[in-house]
Amino acid sequence: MAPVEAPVGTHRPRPLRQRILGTDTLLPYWLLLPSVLYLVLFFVIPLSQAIVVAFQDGAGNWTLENFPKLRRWDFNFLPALKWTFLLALVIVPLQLVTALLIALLVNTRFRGSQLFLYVCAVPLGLSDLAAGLIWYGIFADRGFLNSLLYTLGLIDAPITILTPDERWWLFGAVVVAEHWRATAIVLVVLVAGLQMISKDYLESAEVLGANRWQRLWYVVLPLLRPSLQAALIIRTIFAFEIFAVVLALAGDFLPVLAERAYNWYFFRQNLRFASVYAVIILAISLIFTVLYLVFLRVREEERR
Amino acid sequence: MAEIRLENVWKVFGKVVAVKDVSLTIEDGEFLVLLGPSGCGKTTTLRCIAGLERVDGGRIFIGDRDVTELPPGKRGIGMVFQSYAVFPHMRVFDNIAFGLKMQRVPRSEIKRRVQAAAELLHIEDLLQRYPAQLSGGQRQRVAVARAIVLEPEVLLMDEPLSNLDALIRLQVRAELKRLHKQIGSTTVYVTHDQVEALSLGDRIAVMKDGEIVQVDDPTTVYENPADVFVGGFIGNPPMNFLPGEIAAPKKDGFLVLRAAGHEIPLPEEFVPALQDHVGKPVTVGIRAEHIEVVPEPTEGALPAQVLVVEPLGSHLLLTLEVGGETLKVMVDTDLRVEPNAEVWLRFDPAKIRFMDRETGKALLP
Repeated sequence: MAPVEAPVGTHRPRPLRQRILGTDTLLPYWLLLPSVLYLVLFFVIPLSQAIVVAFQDGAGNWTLENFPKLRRWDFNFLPALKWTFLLALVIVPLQLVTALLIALLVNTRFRGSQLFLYVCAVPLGLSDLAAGLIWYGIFADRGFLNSLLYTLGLIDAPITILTPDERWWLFGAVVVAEHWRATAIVLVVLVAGLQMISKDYLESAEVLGANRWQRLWYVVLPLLRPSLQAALIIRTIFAFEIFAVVLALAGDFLPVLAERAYNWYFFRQNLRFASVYAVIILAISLIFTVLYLVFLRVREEERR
Repeated sequence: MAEIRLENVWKVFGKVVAVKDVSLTIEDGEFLVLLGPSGCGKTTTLRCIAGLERVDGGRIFIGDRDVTELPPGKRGIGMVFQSYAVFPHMRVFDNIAFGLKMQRVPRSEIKRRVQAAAELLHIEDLLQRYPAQLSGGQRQRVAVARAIVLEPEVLLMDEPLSNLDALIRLQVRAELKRLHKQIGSTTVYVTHDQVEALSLGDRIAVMKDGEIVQVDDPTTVYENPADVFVGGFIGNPPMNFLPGEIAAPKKDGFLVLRAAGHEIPLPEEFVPALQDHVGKPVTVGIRAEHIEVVPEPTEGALPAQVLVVEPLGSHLLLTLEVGGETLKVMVDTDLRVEPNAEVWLRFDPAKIRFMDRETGKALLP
């Protein structure tokens, strides 16, 4: 082999494109810049402002007083905390199970499975307020549900489902609506995860005598862990931000954290309490994200 | 104890017939290699035996049992996949123990048997590692250990060496052979690599377009290919083929082969098989090592021109032209030949094989 020598004295000015974009190692950062700018402008700055407001008093001194103060002033604070947690606690596992079942079904690649997946994903395209209104149309006194039951002769008069007297009915209606609206995002993540699991693992387990359930439990679910983690993080964070569906179906008869923040900000013009709520939601989301990352982590040596 | 018997097995994918009426008996304890080019149906045949594909016709027996309708886990088989399919989320120990756990074997026995299988494959020091911490060769051993720990009557392997680099492949190949001698399971081994097939198989089943073309021991498959396809597929370089004609120039019963404008006298034992083909066109097959290169015209030798000389270390591989056909010839390294030189080729008459020019089928003596 002829020795390759570095060319001497061939220093040419670098092309313009290179001078602007720097080397290849810098290019990724240029490509990231627009989204980073967007996030800083519309998320990081307002968020830091909210945190500052939440931890200051009217005179601009740093304080933790706003939190106990909010508890004293807003008799809906504890109920909002309770209902938000209960909703998340019921909705997220329910969605996970439903999404997993549908994803496993889609992954059998039955004839028409792609169409089925698209149909299941339709609610992804709806805003949460629109979804809330759709379910209001179903659950209202003269809504679809009552009409259907009446037509079938199962009831003589409409049942009032959405009433402040029956908090748990409101709760159930929100669970159903939210389940319908937001399961698709989990589904899409899980379907993608399932498709990444090589068929060989399943066939190998099958030859080794594992039945359907054992294959699911010992092979599919462990290998699906990264997707489960991603789906859970996304869904749990959104679950604590639940707002428009509750507003459409229950108004403020079923208080939740985000609705409280909205209420204090718009109706009582109280930026400080609204910010305190925002910080609480943020803290809860962060705690759960960290928990998922710790408990569902895939160790380096287990990676494929 | 466990012979495998395929009776008229069919497998069809849409319009493609992957396995076409295959019947084959694999003896108890035999190492059978399914060999063929990609798409010939060898892997599908293996998957039918494993039960990973439902056959569209025919029956499969393992031992005395008709397993055609049984799921893979109930057939008493072990299988090694091309990708190894070692579970990445389990330590080596749990990978090997997986099948035993599914059978609810007691914990202490699992431990003992995993240890024994690991020792057989020299991976007993790796039991606590995760697959990502292993080399390709080690992962392959884990896959084999996981298959044999169940002491299956039948071991199925789907191109188990094709993902290894050349040096390790040689080493593992020899070890698979040793392992088979040691455990004695009836083994079906799929490969497209004819060297692997020749070195491992007790018998080789050569497949083409979903059908088995020839099943024989390696020597027979190599020396007496059933047709032009087998001769061209097996051997490196593949068998040479020349158009020729059988002739009976004298009345004494001897036959000659006319090829490239010359005549080669044939040994007497060919007479019965070739008598009916006198005057008819045939394809002549001869292996590269059965051609002798001589520097001057000789009785019964064909003139040839050297095109390429390739030193292969132990031998020289010559590419020559004879009457418009290209031949590969293997000669000793001490022969001095240059490209473009004119030489004469003498075929070892006993090693010449004849095929029907039309069908390509061998005319066996």
